[in-house]
Amino acid sequence: MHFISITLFIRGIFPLLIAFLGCQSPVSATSWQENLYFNGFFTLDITRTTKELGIVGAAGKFRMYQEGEVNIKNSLIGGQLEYQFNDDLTGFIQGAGYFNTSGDVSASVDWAYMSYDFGADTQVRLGQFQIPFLQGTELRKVGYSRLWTRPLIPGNGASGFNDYLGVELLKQFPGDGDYWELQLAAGEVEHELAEMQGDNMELLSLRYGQKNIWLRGALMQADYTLALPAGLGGADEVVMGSVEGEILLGKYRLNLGYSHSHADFSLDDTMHYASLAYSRGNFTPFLFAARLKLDFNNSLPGEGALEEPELIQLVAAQGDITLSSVAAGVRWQMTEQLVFKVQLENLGVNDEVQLEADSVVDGGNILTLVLDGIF
Amino acid sequence: MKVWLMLLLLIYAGAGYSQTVVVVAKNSTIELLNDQDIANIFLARTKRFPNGEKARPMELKNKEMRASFYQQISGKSLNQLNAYWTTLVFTGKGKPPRPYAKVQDLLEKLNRQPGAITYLPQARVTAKMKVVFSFP
Repeated sequence: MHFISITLFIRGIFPLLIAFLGCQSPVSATSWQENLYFNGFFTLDITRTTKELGIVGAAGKFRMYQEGEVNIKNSLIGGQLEYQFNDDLTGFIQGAGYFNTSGDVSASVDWAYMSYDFGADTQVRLGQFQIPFLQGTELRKVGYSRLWTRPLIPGNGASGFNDYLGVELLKQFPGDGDYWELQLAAGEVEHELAEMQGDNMELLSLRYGQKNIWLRGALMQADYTLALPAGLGGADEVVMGSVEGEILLGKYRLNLGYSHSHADFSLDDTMHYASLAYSRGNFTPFLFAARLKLDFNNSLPGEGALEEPELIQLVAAQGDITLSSVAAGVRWQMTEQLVFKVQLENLGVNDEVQLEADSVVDGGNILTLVLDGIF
Repeated sequence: MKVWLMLLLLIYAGAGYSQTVVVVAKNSTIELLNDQDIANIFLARTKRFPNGEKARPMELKNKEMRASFYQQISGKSLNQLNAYWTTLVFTGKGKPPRPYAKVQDLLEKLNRQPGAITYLPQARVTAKMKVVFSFP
């Protein structure tokens, strides 16, 4: 089935299918209130930088901070509603309110799907999802889920592809002391830039876990069209891979991650991260180091003359920009639902491109205080 | 001597009194589970019992009992467990056992809901339940 047909099916037939399935067999002996679940999350993020910096945004895209400015622009609040129609069919919707890159309050629906349990630990889900490329890309807005104040992912998530409309197959293999989880996804992907028109996407993710370790790998391929003025751009595909994992050694916790994306027209990016934490009761001090390399050595097809200076510079850019981050912090579990984090980070920039765009322009120090909660 | 024996008996009885067991309704088709089955069900790695029947885990809102239970089945502290549940809940891949504040509500649900399974202190086990796993 062509992927365009899948999205048409989801948009057009999906509501009728859900209404039909929802009428089949209600959950036995329960009221509708017992079938409805709500979970919420929030982040109050207070950040101060010593220089003008672009910082990974929990709600997508870099957030620009002015020198010496104290700002809460990376704060957000969100929630999830889950309704269990019957033993096998469940509906989810999840979204958040946050400050966009202009500083205005905005909101988004990040997940909206129906899930059907076929038994044998197999589910099929239809709808809208966050791309399961890295744990931080799926759970970007849920600060409580991570040790650090910000997700350790490339600043643009999965190369700017944040969500997609399609179908997912989830298959769990619970074992004797370990487990596997297979996730297959396909659909129409959306990019956060207006100039990048996402198209078909396929993704395979495999996760393995034991008591003290989990490992996850993902491979993704997405088609897209880059449309710049003056007829520049065209159809292209991006291929991405990621590996990440966590190891618990007594009170120590080690997290490692790697991702790489390649496309002919848009930026390639490569990211590594490593984090070491030590649990002392409700306090978990941590160190992390992360490195993100943006490769500007791509060429654009098409002929034409751009007029905007920023675009001209961007298209002609050759070389790498490398962002290196080292940080120390502590996570304090105040209550079961509330954590407080402090993180001092040094961001270094090695800019071969000398790109004067509205992005990270120089290195500096970042102090972040975060209150993450779930409710 | 008799005093010491009495004290030993009291200590032994006390250990049994506080031992945690996993129970289902008396009329459940489940007879016996192992520690991995328990871990897989209560950590949402599976939604089914080994015989394919749908499992509906539930638990009391008792912090100490929860901490002890999950430490035994997963090695996770409550802090680690909460982070674990967050990664599942907000990706839609699972949710924690349904919590009940009152024991009476939990027991009523255990008897009424097919596939219900929970864990309790041994002393709370009644004739309407069946023990399917005991922690050593």
